Amino acid sequence: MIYVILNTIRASFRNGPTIFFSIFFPSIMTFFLGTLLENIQVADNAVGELNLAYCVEEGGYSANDFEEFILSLDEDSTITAVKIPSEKLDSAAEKYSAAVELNGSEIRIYNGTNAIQNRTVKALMDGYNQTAASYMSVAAVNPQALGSIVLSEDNLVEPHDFGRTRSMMDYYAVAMTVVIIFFGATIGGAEAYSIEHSSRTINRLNISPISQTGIFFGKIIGLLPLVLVQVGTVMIVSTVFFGAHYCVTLTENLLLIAMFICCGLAAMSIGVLMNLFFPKSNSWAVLMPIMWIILFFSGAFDGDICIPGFSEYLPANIMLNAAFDLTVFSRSERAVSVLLWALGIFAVILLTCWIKVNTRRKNV
Amino acid sequence: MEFLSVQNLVKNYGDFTAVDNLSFSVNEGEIFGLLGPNGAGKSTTMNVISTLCDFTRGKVTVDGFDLVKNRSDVKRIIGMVPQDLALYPFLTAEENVKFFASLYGLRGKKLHTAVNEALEFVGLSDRAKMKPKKMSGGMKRRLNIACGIAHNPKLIIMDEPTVGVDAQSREHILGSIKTLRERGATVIYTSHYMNEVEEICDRITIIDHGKSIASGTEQELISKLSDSKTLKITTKIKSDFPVKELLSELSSLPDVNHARIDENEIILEIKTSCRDFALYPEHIKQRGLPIRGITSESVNLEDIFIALTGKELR
Repeated sequence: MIYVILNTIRASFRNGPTIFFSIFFPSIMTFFLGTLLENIQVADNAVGELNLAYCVEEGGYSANDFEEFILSLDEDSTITAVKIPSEKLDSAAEKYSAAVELNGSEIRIYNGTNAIQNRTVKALMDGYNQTAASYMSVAAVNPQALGSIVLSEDNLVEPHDFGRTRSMMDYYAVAMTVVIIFFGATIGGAEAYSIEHSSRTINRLNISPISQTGIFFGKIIGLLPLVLVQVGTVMIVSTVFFGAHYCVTLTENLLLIAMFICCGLAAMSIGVLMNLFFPKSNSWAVLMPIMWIILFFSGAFDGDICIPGFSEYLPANIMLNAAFDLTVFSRSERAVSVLLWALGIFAVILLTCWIKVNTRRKNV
Repeated sequence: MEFLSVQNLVKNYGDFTAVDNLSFSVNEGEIFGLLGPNGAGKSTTMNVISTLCDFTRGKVTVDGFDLVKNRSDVKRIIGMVPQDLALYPFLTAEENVKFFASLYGLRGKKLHTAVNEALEFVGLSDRAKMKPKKMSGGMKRRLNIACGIAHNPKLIIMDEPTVGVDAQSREHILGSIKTLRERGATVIYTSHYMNEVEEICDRITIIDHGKSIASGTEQELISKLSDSKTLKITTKIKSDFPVKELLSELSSLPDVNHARIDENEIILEIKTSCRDFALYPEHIKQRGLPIRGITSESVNLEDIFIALTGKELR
C-alpha cells in the first residue's frame, strides 16, 4: 500500500493544473482581492459624505425635537444637514444624498441614488424613532416622569474594536482558504481515481495482488498531503507575504486549521465518491461549475451576495461563518460543530466508497 | 505440463453470452495464440484469466491454483501487457516499472534489480529517466511490456503488444517474447497480425462467437482444414485456343482437385500429397503454350482463419 500512497502523492504534486488551481491560484486571488478591494468595501469610505436635506412641518408635533436631532447630526464632519421647504422634497434627490420629512408623527425618507447612504439614513431615522417612541411610552403612562429624565452629556455609544483593525485581506484570506478546500480538495479527490482511468492503469492495479481496500486507502492517504499543502500554503502566504490575520490565540488558530483540514477531507472524499460512481465523468467539467455556484452564493467572493433562506445552508457559507466566528469573535462553537460534521461526512463517505470498491464486479 | 486450464468457461453479460463453453489448455513454457475476429470473446477470456472480471460458469486453473478459490495466488503469478498503453504520464520509465513491480511485493534491492532487468530486457535502459510522453510509439510499447513483466510472472498475457509500432520495434518485441519463453514463462498472445502469430506461437486456438472452433499448432490447423495448395502457371493463350479442352485434360491429371484459367494464368488446386509438380507445366508445354512463370502458394493460417470465421483478422 505504501507504493500506492507514494504514487498518489506523486500524481498530485506532478499534475500542473492541480498545483496551479490548488496552490498558486488561491494565493494570487487572496493577494488581488485583499489588496485591490480593500478600499472599496470599507464602510466609512463607502458611505462617504452625507448631504442630508430635511423638512419639518412648522409647529408640528415633536418638530423641535426632530430638528434638534437632525442638527445634532450636522456636528459630525461627514454629515451636512440642510433645511428645505416641502415643495422641494420631490426633487431633493438630485441635489442631496437623501431627504427626510417629519409629517405629523411620521418620518418620510426620500431615497437618493446611493444604496449605502440610503441605508445609513434609514438607520439614523430608526434610531431617532426608537428614542421618540420610548419618550411617548413614558409620557403616556406617567407624564411627570419625563421631567425627571436627565440626559447625560456623555455619549453612551462608544465604538470598540476587537483588539485589531480587520482588513479585507483578513476576510479574503479566510474566504480563499474555503475556496481552495472546495476546489482543490474536491477535484484532487476526484482525480485520484480518474488518473487511473485516463492513463488506463486501473486494470493493472486491479489485477495486482493489492486488495481493493489497500488501493482505496492508499489513494485516500496519498491525498492527505495535498490537502495539508493546500490549506497551509494559503494560510502561510496570506499571513507572511500579505499580512493577513487569522485568530488571536494559538489554540484558536489550531482549531481553525483543524476545521479547515477536516473540511478538506470531507471535500476530498466527495470527489473520490463522485469518481467511483461516475468513473467516466470529467471531474473538472462537472465539479468546477457546481463549486463556483456554491461558493458564489455562499458569499466567498463577496459577502453581499447572499440569498436569504438559501445561502446560509450552503456548506461554504457555514464554513465561512464558523471561520469568521472564530477569527473575529473568538467564538469556537460553530467551528467545533463544523469540524465534527466534516469528520462525520468524511467517515460516512469513506465507508460508502470502501463498500463500493469491494463489491464492484468489473464487467469488461 | 499443463499450466493454464480453461474448462467449459461461460461468461454472460445479461442475456448476451460473450464466452460460450470455451475450453483450452496452455502448456508451461509455450506461447499460446488466441485468435478471433472482433467480438469473438478473446478480450473477455483474457480478462477472466487475468482476474479482471468474474465468469458465469466453468473452471479456470493457473499453475494448479483455482481462479475462484485461490485468486490472490493466481494474481501473484500473472503479468499483463494490455493493448492500450497503461503508463503513468507523470512518472519516468523507471518509476513506472518500479511502481508496478512494487505492487507484487518486490522491495529494496530485489525491486531495483527487477526494474533494471526489465528495462534492459526491452532495450530502454538508456531511457530510464524519460517520461512516456517524450517516447516514440515503439518505446512506449516496450515500456508497457516492461511494466507487465518486471515482477517475473509465470504467465504473461499479451493483448496485441505490437499495435502501431515500427518494424524495428516489432522485431524487438517479438524477439523479447521468444526470450521470455526461453526463460520458462508461459505466454498467451493475441494479435491482428497473422504473420506474428505464425512466427512466435507454439499453439493456437481460434475462437468465434465465444466458442473454440479450431485448436493446435499452425501445421496441424492447416493440415486439418486444408488438403490442397495452389499452383499458378503463367502462359500466353491465344483467343482461338481450345481452353475448355485444356482445362478438362488438366483436371484429369493425377492429384488435381480443380483447374481454371484467369486470362493468361492457369490456376491448379493440387493435393498437398502431390510430389510430381513437373507433370503439369510439361502437359501445358505439349499443348503448344509457352511457360512464362510458375508460382506455388500454400494455404496459410490467414486462409484457415477466413475459412473458419468468414472474416478477416484485421
